[in-house]
Amino acid sequence: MSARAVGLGRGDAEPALYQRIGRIVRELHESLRELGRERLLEEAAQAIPDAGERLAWVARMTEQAAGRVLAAVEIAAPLQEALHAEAAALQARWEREAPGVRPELAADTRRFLATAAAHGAATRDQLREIMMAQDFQDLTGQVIARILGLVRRLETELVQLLLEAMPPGQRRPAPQRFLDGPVVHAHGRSDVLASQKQVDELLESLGF
Amino acid sequence: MANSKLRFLVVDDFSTMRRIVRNLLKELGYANVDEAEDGAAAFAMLEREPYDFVISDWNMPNLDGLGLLRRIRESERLKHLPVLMVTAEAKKENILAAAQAGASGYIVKPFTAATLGEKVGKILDKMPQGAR
Repeated sequence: MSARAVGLGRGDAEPALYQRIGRIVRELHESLRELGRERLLEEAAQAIPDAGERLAWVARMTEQAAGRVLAAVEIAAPLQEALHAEAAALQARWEREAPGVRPELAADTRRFLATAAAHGAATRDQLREIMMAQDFQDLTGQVIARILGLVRRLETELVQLLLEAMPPGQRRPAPQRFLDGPVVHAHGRSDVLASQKQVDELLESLGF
Repeated sequence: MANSKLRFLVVDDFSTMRRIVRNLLKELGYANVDEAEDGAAAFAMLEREPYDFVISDWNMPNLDGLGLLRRIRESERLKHLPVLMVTAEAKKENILAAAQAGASGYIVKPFTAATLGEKVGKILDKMPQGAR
């Protein structure tokens, strides 16, 4: 972080402030040396971008899930609407024309049509509720985007600071964990499988 | 029944929300709906083609909803266009700023289908007759 970014801007306070920051950085530097800095630096350099990517992945997955729900609702709603409309129309005709044949069957049919029309309307309302609930994606997405911005700023500043404190020869990529959770970025990685098809193909090639 | 010929422009950077609003408008009887993903894209569309109603988010890249609203109100041709803000910004100062800039209505997310229907209806009732 540049001294300007500290943003105190009061002439008298600045020299003392710089001295304190300088001391903190030197102490950090010393602590890193004592604690085995290469491990710490690797972890810091790895952990923050990793956290950011995971968060971005959460945003993408929720957006896709919301999209799937909306697509399903958009297909189901007109079908439901048609059922509802037809049942209601037919019920009205049965009430009006009331055929004299087989009164019990006629009564059962009228009752069923009334139920079908009412349930159709209720289901339509629930479909709308399912659709409205997808607004979580917009709201959580906005919060995640904001946190991502913060994480990326932190990453730039902190990793830069840490790398400056480390001799170039000691920089090595951090080891991958075995259980790494959901794959956030399959693109450009040869060690992960991007689809169930690839998983099946791999197992098949091994004789399973 | 709603005047289904009215043409709506829905502006939001989240496709999920654009889709929700589009579906709600369809339920209300307005099937003529276009979408824009930020204020700049929306304003370009408004300059190119005639619209009757704008529903806009606030917090968007490039040009935000308030900026879009101001541009619309500054435009001789567009200044009477109804603009309904639908946004997560819920601070009093936000709502005041939108009102001062000439918003026709303000809905805070999350909102219900009934709220959108009511606000759209109220704004359309106030529109001068003959505006289609």
